[in-house]
Amino acid sequence: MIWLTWRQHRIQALAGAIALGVVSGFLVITHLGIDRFFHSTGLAACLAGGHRDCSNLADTFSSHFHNLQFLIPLFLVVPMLVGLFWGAPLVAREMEQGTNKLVWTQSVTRRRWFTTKVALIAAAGVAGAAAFAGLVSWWSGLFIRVSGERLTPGIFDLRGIVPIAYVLFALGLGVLAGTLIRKTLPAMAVTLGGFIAVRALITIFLRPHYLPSKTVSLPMFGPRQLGMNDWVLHQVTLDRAGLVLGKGGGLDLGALSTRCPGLLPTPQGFPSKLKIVHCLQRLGVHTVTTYQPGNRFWAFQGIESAIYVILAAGLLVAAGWAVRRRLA
Amino acid sequence: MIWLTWRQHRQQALAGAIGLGLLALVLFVTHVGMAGTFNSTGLASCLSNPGRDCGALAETFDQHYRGLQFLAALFLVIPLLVGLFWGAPFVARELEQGTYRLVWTQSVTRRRWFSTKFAAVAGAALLGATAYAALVTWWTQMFVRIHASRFNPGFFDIRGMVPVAYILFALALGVLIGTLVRRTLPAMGLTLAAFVGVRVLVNIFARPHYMAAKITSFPVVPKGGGILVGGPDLANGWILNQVTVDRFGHLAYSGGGISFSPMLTSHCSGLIPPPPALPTPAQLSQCISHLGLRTVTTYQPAGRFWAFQGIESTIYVALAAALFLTAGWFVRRRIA
Repeated sequence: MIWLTWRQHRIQALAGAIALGVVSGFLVITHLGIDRFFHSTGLAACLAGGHRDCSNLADTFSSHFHNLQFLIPLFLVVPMLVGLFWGAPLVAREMEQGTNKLVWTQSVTRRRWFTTKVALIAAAGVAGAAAFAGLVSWWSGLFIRVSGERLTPGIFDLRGIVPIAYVLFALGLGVLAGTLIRKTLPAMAVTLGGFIAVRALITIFLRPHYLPSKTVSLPMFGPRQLGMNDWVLHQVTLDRAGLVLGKGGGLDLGALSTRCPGLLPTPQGFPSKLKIVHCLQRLGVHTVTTYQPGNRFWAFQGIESAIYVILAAGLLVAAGWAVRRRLA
Repeated sequence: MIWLTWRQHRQQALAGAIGLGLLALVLFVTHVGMAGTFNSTGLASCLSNPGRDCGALAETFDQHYRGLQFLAALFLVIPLLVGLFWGAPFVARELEQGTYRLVWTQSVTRRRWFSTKFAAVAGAALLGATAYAALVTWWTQMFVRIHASRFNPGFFDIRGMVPVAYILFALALGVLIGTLVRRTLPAMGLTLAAFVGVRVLVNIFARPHYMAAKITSFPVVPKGGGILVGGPDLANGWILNQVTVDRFGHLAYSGGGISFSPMLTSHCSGLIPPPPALPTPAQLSQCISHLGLRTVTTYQPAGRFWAFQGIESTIYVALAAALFLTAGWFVRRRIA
């Protein structure tokens, strides 16, 4: 069985290994430049100093590596590719090409056939995903130190242990879709749609509520009391009486101008900073922020991973059941 | 033939249309919120005055919509999906499932079979791609205005007319690879790799040289506590390379802005205090004027945006045409 699995999937395994190799080559090479820049500009020394304002150096750094940072979201696609190219064809290709007629009439039971194949491929997937997640976490470490966005959706999804869970989930989804649809190409398309939908829904609706969020009220222009890595869920700007002046933490000049005449920017000029500060003090403007503290990073990683691993297990069990009971 | 093409590809067409519809829905819904913030915070009116510093307002907007902006890079993947799901199975599935034996022994010649099918699928792709490119261009407009980044690799690749050319290229690439490999799944894997490879190579090695780059030089100006980088005509341009030199033209450090390179610290003694502390603004500006630091920038000016879009699109459309002709030749002469 192990030999059969290897023979059937060695091209996919090879393609996966080559892709992983190319990506790590790219990451290692670009990291050299990033690391050199990080230290030679003095940014490393500045950030090590604790409560300093390193925004000048950080801006230089960010704009220098703007193009690389733009590419980071593409890593979100990688787990899905495992689902498409490893998961979806696993059962569907056998059915499509009729090879299931031969293989399911041998002395090996369908249950053993399915579990051996899935176990081996999942193990390869987990090993590859662990290497991938470790690489990306290491590579993006400097960007995170500069921007402090460990918990921000998108970046959270690329680092730590969650990419491994996503790979397992994508694999399970692909296998089940292939088993039910019985044709590779439609199964791949369904896996793509399903993966994006589940990821989007969980990220938007579930993740903010894994742990009860905290709320803090801060004056405008006060010292920044939120930590670097805090994930801001919701922010409103209120006046002293609690009337909402605007959504988001920034200034809404349009809303302010009804209370402080002459604040609205015109094509001729922009209100002076003094005027704005005066208006803010008179109204007692402050912001109320709902957030998840940055130190919950690993708790969130654990919860998110658990959800996806459980989903993957459910999908694989369902696929195994369908293989044994439902098909041909 | 047209009816056959429709019957064979209607599922793919349907899936593509649903995908486009969902995407349009997401973009419309999120755009409403963004446009509201953009106008009500005064950012829109601030940006419409050139030369004004809208940094604080822009940063608020930026932070609020960080998540959405982050997703912009995923639009780079869409053309690839067309190549994978429409292109690669185009001939490969016929060969794999043996349906070519029936279809190529009818009164319709292989040439007509191939060109009609391809024309229909490419026509549909062209329509969808145009709608898609227009949508994304419209949706990303505010981000591009804030960052003056429409020429930067990344945003350049998802706006204007290049996405349409990428989609045609991905389609033709998938068709050719499918014709050569004759099996759908490996063809899809190879299409993925080839598309990524070509896009990366053209981006890195060809695009910076479509037109001769310009060079400009301006002094490094310390501004208050901060450092002012960038001259006026660089805004919206594409910066290819930036170095900082002293008054004799010796390299001080690569990159613009300020950087505490060994060159700086050796010429301005006491510039860098022991690790946790940083130099004061006065110390910095003294050192900068003492050395006469200038930033030398190699760039493509903002006005060339559409010229670059045109050149890039031409390259990919020409590649697509060549790939398509090769695939057609193989279908007529080489296979079965």
